Parts: sequence; structure tokens; C-alpha cells
Amino acid sequence: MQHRPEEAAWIKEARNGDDRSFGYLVESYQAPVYNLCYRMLGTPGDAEDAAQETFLKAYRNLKRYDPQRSFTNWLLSIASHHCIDRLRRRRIQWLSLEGDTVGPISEPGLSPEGNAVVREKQAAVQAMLKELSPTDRSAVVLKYWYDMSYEEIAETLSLTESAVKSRLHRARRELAQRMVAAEPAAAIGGLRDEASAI
Amino acid sequence: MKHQPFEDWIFSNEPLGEEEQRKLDAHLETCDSCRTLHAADFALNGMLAGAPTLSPAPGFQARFAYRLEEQRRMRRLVRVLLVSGLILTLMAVASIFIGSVLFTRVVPFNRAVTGIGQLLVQIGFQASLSLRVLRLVASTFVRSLPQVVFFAAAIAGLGLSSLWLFSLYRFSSQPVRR
Repeated sequence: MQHRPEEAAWIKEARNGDDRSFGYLVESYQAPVYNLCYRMLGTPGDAEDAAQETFLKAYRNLKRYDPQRSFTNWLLSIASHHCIDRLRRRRIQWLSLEGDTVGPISEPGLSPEGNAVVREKQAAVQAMLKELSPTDRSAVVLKYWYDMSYEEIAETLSLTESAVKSRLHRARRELAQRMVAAEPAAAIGGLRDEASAI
Repeated sequence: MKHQPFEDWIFSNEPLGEEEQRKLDAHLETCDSCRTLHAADFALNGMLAGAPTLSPAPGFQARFAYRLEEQRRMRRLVRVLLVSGLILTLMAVASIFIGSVLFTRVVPFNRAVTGIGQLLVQIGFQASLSLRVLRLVASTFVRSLPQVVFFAAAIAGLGLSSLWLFSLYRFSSQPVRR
């Protein structure tokens, strides 16, 4: 995996104890790490906390990072495992569709009505994700948001490639079946038209 | 109607071969259940692929730096406490050892035990005497106060208790905002 030149330098300097360089890495990777945590945990507060913990763990284990590996994937691997552990440990009440759960999602160019529609769709996405087991959820998030290959997902989640494929297959089937159970066929047809327009 | 292997093909992670795709398309023409499932999968893919990547609230890096510093501070504190505790324990053990060796050389063991016992009794007696004196002073002071002071103290206590209970209720009933 090739790093950007400045990024490779930051990693090297951070490994030598330079906090400012690690700060640049935090600045560069905060969005992907936060997004993964948000998709896994479902609330901005938990996502912030998990993302911070991810960077703290990365900071502590930076010496063990293999520069041949993608730094993003390494960070996302820490974040995934942290979120999975957190979900298993705390069995948190994952999502409520109102309040600040989908608070940060807003499109600057959209009207309040447009933003309400975006929020509603995002709430639907989060509600679907929460039905999955933590590991399946993580595989789905890495596949759809980070466009990772099966091999990368397997490496990130410490699974075999065939296990990842089987989990993704099962997750998609489960989500589709839940959607069919929840929505009439006509509504799904409408969603399909909307999705194909994206 | 048999839905296998069509359901597997609908959710296949790999692109289907030409023949498989043709068979699946033909099946979807006639099977409502598989068609609905296929449409749902298509819609889901669209929804997931169209969902944005979210960013944290501004100031994430500053919050991280603060948290890192806090963690370091805590580690330093724990280290200092551990080292101080270890040193104090070692000093106490050494003092007891040296003290007992020196003391038993100067005074025979049975006399030393009796002496320590007498010392403890004396300390207890002196403490109870001091307590009695303090009680006497306090009761004299309280008797000299007018009744209105007691009334005001009771009201202040009641007010503080209510405030404390109210803040407990607020903390327990409202979510923590970050």
C-alpha cells in the first residue's frame, strides 16, 4: 500500500514520539474512523467516544504498525474491533429514531424539508444496520462505505475471505427479508426506483 | 415453487455467469416472492451506497489531544502513587524491624509489651478527657445562641437538601450531552 509522502513522514515521526505528527494523522483520518464508529454504534456521542478511543489505541500501538499495510485499514481494523467489543460488552440500546441520533446528518445545500428527507433515509439505513450482528454490521459498513475488497475486510476483521463472503451474503439476505416483511412490495418497487436514480 | 438456487443467486457476492443470469431473469418474471426480494436487495444496495460519510463535530483533534494529555496525567499519577506506596511500605517494614530489634535490646520483651499497653491506655484516657472538655465548651456555646439561629440553620439545611435532591434527579433523568 502506498502512502502519500507527507503521510508516511507523519507516521514515521509519530512513531518516534512526535505528537504533532500524530495530530496531523488524527486530522486526516478522523472522518473515516468517526463514520465507521457512527455506523456501528448509531449515536454521535458513542461514535465520538469510540473514535477517540481508536486513536488512543493507535497511538499506544503505533510501534506495532507495519508500514507495508494500509494505515487507513489498520485504523479501521482497530475501530471495528473496538466497536464490536463495545456492542458485545454493553449490549447498548442502539437506536432511537428521534433526538440526536441522526442529528449531524444534514446537507448544506438542502432546504429544511430536504434535510428532513435525508435524515429519514439515514434513520432507515441505521435502523437496518442495527438488525445485524456486530461483525456482520462491520463487514457491511466496510464493504459499502469504504469499498474494501473481501480480502481487505477479512484482514481488517481477522476473518477468512470465505467467512466474509458468507457473512455479507447472509447480511444482505437478512436485510432484504426484513425490508420485505416491513414494507409492502409496491413500496419496495418505489425504493428500487429511487435507488436506481442515485 | 422452489426458490433455490435463485435466492442464492440474488444475494451472490460474485457476478453471475451468463447462463445463471438468464435463468434468474426468467425465474424473476414468474416468481413474485423472488422478485420482491430482488427489488429489496437492489433498493438496499442503493440506500447503503448513497449514505454519506459522516464527520465528527469540529475540534475533534483538540479533544483528542486533551484526552491524550489526561491519560498521560493519570498514568503519571498512578506511577507516583505506586512508587510512593512502595517506598512507604518499605520504610514502615524497615522501621518496624529496626525498632523491634533496638527496643528488645534495651528493654526485655515482657516489659516492652506492658509498657506499650500502658501507653495505649493513657492515650485513650487523655482522648476521652479531651472529648468531655470539648462537649462542655460546645454545649455552653449552643445554650448562649438565640433560638432564631437554630430556625435559620434548619431552613438552610432543608434548602440545601432540596437542591441536592433536585440535582440528583436532574443528573439521573437527563442524558449526558457531549
